[in-house]
Amino acid sequence: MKFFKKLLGKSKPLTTSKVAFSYKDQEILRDISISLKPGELVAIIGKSGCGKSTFLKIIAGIIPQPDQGKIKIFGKPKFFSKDKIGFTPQETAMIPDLSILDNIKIFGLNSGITERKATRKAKKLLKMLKLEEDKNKLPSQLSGGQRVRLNIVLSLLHDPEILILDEPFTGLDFRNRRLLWHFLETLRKRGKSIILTSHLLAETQEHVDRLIILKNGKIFFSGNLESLKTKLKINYIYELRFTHLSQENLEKIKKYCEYKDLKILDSYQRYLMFGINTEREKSYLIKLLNKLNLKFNEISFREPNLDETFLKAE
Amino acid sequence: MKQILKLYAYTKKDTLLLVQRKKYLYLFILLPLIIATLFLFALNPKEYDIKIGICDFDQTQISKSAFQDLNGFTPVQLDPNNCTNNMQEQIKKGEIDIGLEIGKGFAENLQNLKQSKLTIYYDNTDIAFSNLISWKIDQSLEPFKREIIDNLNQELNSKVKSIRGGVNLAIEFSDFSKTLQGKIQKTDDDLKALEEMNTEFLTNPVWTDKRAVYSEDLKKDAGIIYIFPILAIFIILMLSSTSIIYDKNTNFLTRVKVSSSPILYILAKLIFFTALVTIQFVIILILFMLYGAQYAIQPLALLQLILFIGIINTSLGLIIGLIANNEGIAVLFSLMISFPLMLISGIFFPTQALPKIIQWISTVLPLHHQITATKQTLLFGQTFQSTWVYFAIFLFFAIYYLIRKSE
Repeated sequence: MKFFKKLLGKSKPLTTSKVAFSYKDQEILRDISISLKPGELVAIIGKSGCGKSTFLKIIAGIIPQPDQGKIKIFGKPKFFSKDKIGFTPQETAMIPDLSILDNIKIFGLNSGITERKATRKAKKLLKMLKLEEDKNKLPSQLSGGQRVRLNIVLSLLHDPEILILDEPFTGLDFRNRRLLWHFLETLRKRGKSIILTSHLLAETQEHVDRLIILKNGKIFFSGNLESLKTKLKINYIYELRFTHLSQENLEKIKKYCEYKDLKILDSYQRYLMFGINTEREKSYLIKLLNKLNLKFNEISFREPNLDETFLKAE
Repeated sequence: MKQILKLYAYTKKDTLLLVQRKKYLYLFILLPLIIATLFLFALNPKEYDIKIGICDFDQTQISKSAFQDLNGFTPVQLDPNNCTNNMQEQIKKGEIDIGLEIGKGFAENLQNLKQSKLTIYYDNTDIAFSNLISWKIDQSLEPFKREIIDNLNQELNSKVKSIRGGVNLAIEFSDFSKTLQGKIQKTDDDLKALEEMNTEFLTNPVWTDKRAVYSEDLKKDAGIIYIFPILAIFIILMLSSTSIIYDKNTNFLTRVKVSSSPILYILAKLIFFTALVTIQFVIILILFMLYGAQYAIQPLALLQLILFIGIINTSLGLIIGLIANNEGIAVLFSLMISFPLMLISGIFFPTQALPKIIQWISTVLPLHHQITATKQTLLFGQTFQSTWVYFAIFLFFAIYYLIRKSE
């Protein structure tokens, strides 16, 4: 028995191997293999519709089975480890016509713990998330940000080892987002493994241990921001505003970028944003613009954040 | 002008939404179609046949031929041995719809211009049918009665002619000859026959005596066998279907799927709504009993009945809720199922008078079986077949599958 416990203890909290899933003949996910270490915070990012939420739903068991591949929680099939997972869906999942306290009790029971334990645990979690409202209030009487935090608390009542959060920062203001990041970091320090999706890339890069980028249903990248920049050859952002930019000249700039493997990350009227690997590439680009007799103001030349790096990955 | 544009915009919005939400549109069209068709079928049954069992104790040419061609009835000649009792048993079992007893001397009475009696046996717990049968039998016997009255008319004409001849002869021969005496005697006899003629016979040559196969009190007690299942199906379909839609909309179902198997969730729903059915049943039962109704209550049979009605109706409601996208569609779905079921359940229109295909549909649908089960349990204290359990298991797996499939 001890041998098995030891064996299980060594198993990673979450491993997925070659997970594939299609919906109505459309391939959503293919060949997704990841593993999560204890106390690791991982963010999955990707364009809307790239399969991020579907992947989390498969791990959480909302979609019962992938078409292919295996998911293991601490080395066991996920069916036997449901109590190890806490899932926070993107939309709030609570009973709007029952008080906060009743919600806590019911979702605690749903997670397999007593009402008393659920209430005790909720008290701690609500304090950590600064949500010490009257528990007899209805969820509808809370603000949007408070509801989002309550939604997370309801997923954690049974103290799960793995926390899965689908877009947990949606609807939160800056202050509440920082609060939630601190909260997640506390959980991580306690050894909880966390996997989340987010569109707030700049913020995400500061807090996560690892980024996983999904592109066309496959893992495009897995690692930290620095290795992503290296992979994408984007070390600088160069922003320019032109006095005048004709369609003809724009086409010429685009052709040059294509030829030199530079990327125009953003363009709007007379504004252009370039993703550049070296300072030498910048000087070549300026030479071209001068050759085209274009007048411009330099807005910035700086390191990119995750949002900007991600634009190149798209 | 601006007001008209606004008015147009609001109307257009609702029209576009109706067209967009296909399920709404289909139900919106299907519901009146089904209900109106059923209603028309029930009001104007073109083809139906009511099985009539005949006990012919008279065994004459008239008794044998008179009831072979009753409009809308299919006669079944029953074995004369212990015929009346067997006939009543067959009615109770539903093998025949009604029974007709032709007593001894039926034809002889008619020949002697005396009123004859027919005894009709029927199931008085089948409320709509027992109301129909009274006028239906009389209507069907109408041609036979007309024939008897026509024969009587001919008989009367010939008697009157005969009297007229005798009277004429008496006038012609004033002396009392023997021939005249004989004729006068004959005239006297004819007049006596006319005098003794039964006046009831003139208005109704055949009297139908309708007898219920169960005690008359049972008709009052029988109300519960319709009211309870109909209320249960109507309310439980609505409540259970909207309840699962609520759980879908509030993402409660998502949390259920993350933390446990849907089996416990389904079981909890079945327990909760069966408890509601029990409360409804107790309220109705108490009201009927306060009104003087008496029931043969056997706890086990009663438990089986409540489980049957609770589990099947809740399961159907849950399936509706899982198929429907919102509460509005669920309510329409529930209405589409429960309302036609009510129409063909036998409380408003006798099922025996419905077209064969509708009769068949009504026997396949759950409400028919729920009414039959309630009747057997409450009126006769019997248990009913537990084949419904297989249907319940099938529904359970259907719900399980739909919940797993839903996101």
